[in-house]
Amino acid sequence: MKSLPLFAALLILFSTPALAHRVNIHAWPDGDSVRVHCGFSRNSPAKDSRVTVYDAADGKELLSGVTDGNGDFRFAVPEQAHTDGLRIRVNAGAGHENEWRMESREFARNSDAPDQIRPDSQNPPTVHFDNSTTAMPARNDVLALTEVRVVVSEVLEAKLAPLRRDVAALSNPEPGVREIVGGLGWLVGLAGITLYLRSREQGRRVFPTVKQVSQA
Amino acid sequence: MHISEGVLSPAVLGAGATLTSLGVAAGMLRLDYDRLMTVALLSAAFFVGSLVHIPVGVGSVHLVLNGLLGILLGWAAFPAILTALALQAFLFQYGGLTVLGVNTFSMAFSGVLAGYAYKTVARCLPGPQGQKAAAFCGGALGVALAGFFTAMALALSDENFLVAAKLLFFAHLPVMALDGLITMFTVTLIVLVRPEMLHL
Repeated sequence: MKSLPLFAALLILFSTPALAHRVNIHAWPDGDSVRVHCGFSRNSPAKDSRVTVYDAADGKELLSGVTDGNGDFRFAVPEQAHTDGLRIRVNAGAGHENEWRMESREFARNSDAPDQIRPDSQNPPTVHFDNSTTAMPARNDVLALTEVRVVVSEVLEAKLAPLRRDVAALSNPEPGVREIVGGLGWLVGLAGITLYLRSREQGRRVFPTVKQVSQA
Repeated sequence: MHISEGVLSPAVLGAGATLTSLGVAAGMLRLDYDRLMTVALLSAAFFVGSLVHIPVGVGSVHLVLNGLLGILLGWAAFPAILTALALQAFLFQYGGLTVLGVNTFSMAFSGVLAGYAYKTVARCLPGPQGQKAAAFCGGALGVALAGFFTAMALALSDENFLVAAKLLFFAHLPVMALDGLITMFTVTLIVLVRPEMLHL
């Protein structure tokens, strides 16, 4: 086997991590932008893949870009996302494409946030979060709240990062033992059924039933 | 090699489905039903083969094994690969149902051609070494031709043929080598143990 080292050299030289069976895509809103992660199975990122963002309602192309070395892509939330939602499509080349849909309710406007966070009944109507020109305590309150919001969202994002990875992994499951054994069972079963049906036909020819004999 | 849904144009999808049904019909007509279990087992090998990831360099490759199926089954590789790909589409979401025809054709027809190539080479180079060389060529050629047909399907839809073909070819060089080796060992073993399997 003189040629084996040559093969090994070939294998290492020309190995590209891409070109598995399927490219996976996962996208989530992060503040004013949307983050997209594209990868193949077994944690290999889809580098330099074209990501195109469409309006989910009318299918119009909104923007496009290319993923970085980690398979990540980030873009500012387009205006249409709030009304129609987005359809994000990745093309990793060689016929590998996949898409991810984001609905409009995933994009909460920042200006909506205070109303959702603050229980109205506990706040006096004089405290406003926009450019209110009332007393000083209210201004401090506004500043503190925006700062708190930034800090909370940072911490939350850090805490959520592993969860997002898990969700991405769950939404693009790798084939497990169950699927493989199931597939093998199907193949053997289909062959078995075909053989059984044929053997019944042949059996009738060799050993005719009473009805066939009486007809003959 | 598994083209995803929504990539190809309807004309290419239709042509793939038509060609695949012709191939499956040819395979079923020539099929000796006593060998049906062999077909099912090789279909299972194909089904599992693309899950066998072999870590190579920085990434991993997976087997295709369509050359092996073409050599051992001839035209019966069509129904075998169609069933395996349908199950992969259902169970693993590889490829998809609308592209089943195109994917089956690109992998099965290249396997059938690889089978003929194996026979030709084996006839030109008699002896055990020639047998080995022929089997290796068959296994490697199956993958290379599958890449060629896949690139054709993409080119007929919209992708640039040369770009797609180059990408597929270079990415599949390790697969070609591996498939060639596996086909070589399998066929050598079968020639030793059950030579009648090769004379269809």
